[in-house]
Amino acid sequence: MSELNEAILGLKQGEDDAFSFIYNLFEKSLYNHLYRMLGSESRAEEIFQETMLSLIKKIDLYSHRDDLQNSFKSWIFRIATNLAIDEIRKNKSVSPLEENYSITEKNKIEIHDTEQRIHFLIGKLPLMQRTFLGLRVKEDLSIKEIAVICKVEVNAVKQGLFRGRKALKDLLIEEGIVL
Amino acid sequence: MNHPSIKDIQNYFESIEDKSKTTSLKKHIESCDKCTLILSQMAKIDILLNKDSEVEVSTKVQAETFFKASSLLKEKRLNLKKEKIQKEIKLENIQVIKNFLTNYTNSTLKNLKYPLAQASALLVLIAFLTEASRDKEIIQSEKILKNEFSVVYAESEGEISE
Repeated sequence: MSELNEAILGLKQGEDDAFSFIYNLFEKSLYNHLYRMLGSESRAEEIFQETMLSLIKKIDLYSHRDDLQNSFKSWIFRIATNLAIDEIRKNKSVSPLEENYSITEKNKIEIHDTEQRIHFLIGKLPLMQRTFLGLRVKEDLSIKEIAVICKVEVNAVKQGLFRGRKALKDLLIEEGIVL
Repeated sequence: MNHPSIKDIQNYFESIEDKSKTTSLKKHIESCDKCTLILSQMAKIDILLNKDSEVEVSTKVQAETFFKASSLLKEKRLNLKKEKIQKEIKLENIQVIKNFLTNYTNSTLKNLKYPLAQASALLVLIAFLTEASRDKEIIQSEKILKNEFSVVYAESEGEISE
């Protein structure tokens, strides 16, 4: 049995070590996923904490899915994504899909290096496009897993990825970053 | 030259292409500068996406999360302990009823002269078994008790009319 599976069983028994293991395994990726979605560190931190606590409350409902290579990761990212979408809906009356990413205080700083410029440009993409791209490229999740996480059809993910890459390419060209 | 559709190129890029198309796609891409350029741009975009700066959870939120998690985990352990005890008690009770049924013919209840009291006691036992478990043995015991109940109940009707 893998360490993760052992930790899942341990968490079902309420073991502190099992929680620490899962926390450490997903902290960075989950928090960055939420940050990409919400565009604010403080909101991302709030939802990140809520996700980790929901994990303890809902762990008994988790069952492994053979059709997903990253079954548990998809499950925990789905909890986080649902909470983030709820948060966006709660705070804004407009559709979260139309929301623009804000880099908060970083907007004010003149953007110098490529890393920051790319970060700024990703922020300009619509919510679902940057979410799909983040999950696909940064988290290495499959298109099916992304569809499960975001509760959309596989084709919608494919289309979102295509449009996201294209939009980013156009923005990069506009910015003078040669591809 | 007939280029593959953007959908096919994307599927090829994501490694989710239709297996029957793989060979022809590969062959086309190897000889087509335009398609190779599209693919290389997609790859470059992904490389750039990977360069996106990352953020870290503050130590304050980390500590707060572990503190809150700790009390939830403690509560979970307590609930599991409670459930275990309740399950053990239930199993013990079921065993008592099973033993009772084994010795029912010679029991005080069977030989009780008051069918109404007998019927009431049997009803309580049936209700308990229904609530307790759905295993084969219990369902069988429940059937026996229900038969016994109908006999005793018929007798108790006579007792009431008297």
